[in-house]
Amino acid sequence: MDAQFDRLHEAISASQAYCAAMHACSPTLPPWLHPASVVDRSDLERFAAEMHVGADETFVDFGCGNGAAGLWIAERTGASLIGVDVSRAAIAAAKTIARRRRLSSRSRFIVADAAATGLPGGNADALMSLDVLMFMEPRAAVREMRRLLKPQGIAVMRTVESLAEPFLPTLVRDYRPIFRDEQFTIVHDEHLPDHRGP
Amino acid sequence: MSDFYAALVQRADTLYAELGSGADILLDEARAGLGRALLSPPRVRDIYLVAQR
Repeated sequence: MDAQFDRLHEAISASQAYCAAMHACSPTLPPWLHPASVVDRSDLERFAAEMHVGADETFVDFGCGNGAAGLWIAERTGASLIGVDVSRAAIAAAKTIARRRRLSSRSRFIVADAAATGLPGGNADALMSLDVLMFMEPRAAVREMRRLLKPQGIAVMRTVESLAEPFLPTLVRDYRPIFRDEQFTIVHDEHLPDHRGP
Repeated sequence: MSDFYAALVQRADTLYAELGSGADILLDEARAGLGRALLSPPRVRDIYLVAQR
């Protein structure tokens, strides 16, 4: 799976046609932002608002891909970003984008498994995860989210739930009990009308 | 998402010109996604979730 994500991110980074397709579908995105799933500006604004982070605060982008979504939020909010992804190609792309956006001093990107990031616990004010949780072993990922967050820290996610027999081994039918089992309080949950995931 | 997959498939020639066989991973996923989008009833749904530690 890791090699597959590397190939995916290498292709995304090297392709103008991919960017053109993304921006044809999400015309409000800044031209430098081309994530691995369909996101528009209002999605990013919503993530930023729900995380409530500002200057001198830190958020984690859990499964950050090429980091662009988290960097856009860091740029807009003044917060610091730690991006984590299992793909070396994705993290290399994220570091490049951070340099171009002059955000290297406020961002850090690491290659790590979501279940064991190696980051110190209890340091993150907030955490985001955009269209990647469905590829992670769910209980281990949620447990690591809890470990990374400060008490009262907020996790904001968009992911996919299965309505039938899962076609990925990591897909689940309902994430909410998993978060409750890890002592999270569900602040908001909403099934979205337009499917954007895999 | 299916609009995006369709936009990728429409650009298949350009993707192959840019990436060679590296385009396969994008186009295979796009074609699979277009196929899944036709399934009824749908097999997945998106959820937006905010949780507090």
